[in-house]
Amino acid sequence: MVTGGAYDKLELELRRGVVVLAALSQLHTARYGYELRQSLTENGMPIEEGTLYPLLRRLETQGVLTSEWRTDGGPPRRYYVLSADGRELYERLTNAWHGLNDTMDLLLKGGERHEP
Amino acid sequence: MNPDDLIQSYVDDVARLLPRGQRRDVAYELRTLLTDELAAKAAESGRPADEAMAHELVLAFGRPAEAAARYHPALTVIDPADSRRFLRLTVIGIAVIWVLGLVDTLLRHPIGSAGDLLGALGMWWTGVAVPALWWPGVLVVCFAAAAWVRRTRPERAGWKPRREDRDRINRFGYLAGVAAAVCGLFVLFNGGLLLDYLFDGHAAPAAYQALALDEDFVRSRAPWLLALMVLQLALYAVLIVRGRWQPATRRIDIGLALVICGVLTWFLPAGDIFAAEPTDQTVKAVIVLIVIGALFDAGLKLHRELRRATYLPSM
Repeated sequence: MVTGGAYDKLELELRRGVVVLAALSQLHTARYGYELRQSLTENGMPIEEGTLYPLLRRLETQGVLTSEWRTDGGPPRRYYVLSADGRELYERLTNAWHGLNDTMDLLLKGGERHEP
Repeated sequence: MNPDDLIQSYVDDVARLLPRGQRRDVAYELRTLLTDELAAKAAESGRPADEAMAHELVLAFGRPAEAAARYHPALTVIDPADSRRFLRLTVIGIAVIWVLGLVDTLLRHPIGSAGDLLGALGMWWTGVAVPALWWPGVLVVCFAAAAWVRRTRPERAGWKPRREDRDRINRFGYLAGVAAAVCGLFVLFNGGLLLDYLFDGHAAPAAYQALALDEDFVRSRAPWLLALMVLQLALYAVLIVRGRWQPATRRIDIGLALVICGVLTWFLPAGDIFAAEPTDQTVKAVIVLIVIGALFDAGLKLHRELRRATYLPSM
């Protein structure tokens, strides 16, 4: 019997693989970190703050995102949005995800057929 | 503590570990985000934010070092694939240095009382045990350099099949080894003849005395050494004829090396080997080095032999 701990770890590995794509999907319009996290959570993809906020900075360093400070009546917040390279990367990653998803569907249906 | 102060304190600790260029900007953003998160938590729980709530929030964010590390590109000093090897080499190296250092300390400071023992252990700790940490340091540098080369020149890092046949021997090399061993034995038992040859029979009497073997050694212990050397030379003769190592010869070689080490170790306390004290002490020091080297070599060969034997299905 596989323990709950093993399930949690493997499930986390699965989610880790899609964190970047999930974040990029919400950044066609500019959002600040907390707003983005809320948006992902509302769409069923909660990502820990300790993972998401540094990720935004790293993606910006890689040229995938651009950012700017804005003060829309409140405290200054850093807003992130896809750059031109980021939009291209997003398209490619989305295609890869769809391909992977189709493959996994096939594999999982095959797995169900072979169950005893 | 005020929750805002707690968040500020956490952000300060993270900021200290960030690159100087982005420190102020990231720290400001992090504080804003954590404040937003705290406000949301407070709203969700229906009570004002307090210290416990802020503490829970920053704990979930991770240790300051972990949080700061996430803002950097991943940095690996030793490749995870090398970690076990690094650990094994570290432990083995430290153990060897500690044991040799302990033997050396005990030989230099004979133990006569509990105080002597404590004194010797103290000297060993400060003179050998702690300084031995140079070994892991050297390993870190070597492994980090290897990892850096693999990352910068990946085309050279790929696995390549080993072309040479490890069981094949160099017949001429082994023949030269046998000749050297025979000459060495001849010189050991006929040191005077060597001096006559080198100095035309006019060497100083002290030189003859220095190379004279102890009579008791020649009578009682030397035959054992000779017998073992003959066996070793016979093994090399077989190898030279066959041109390669085989399972049986590998095992005989390991067994013979262990027996020779045992006999050489027995020589150390069993009495004088050379009649002259300085020569005897020097030769015994050399024997210690030979035994250590031979045991290390035999250990490696045994490890390889056992590893070969484990390539079996575990049914």
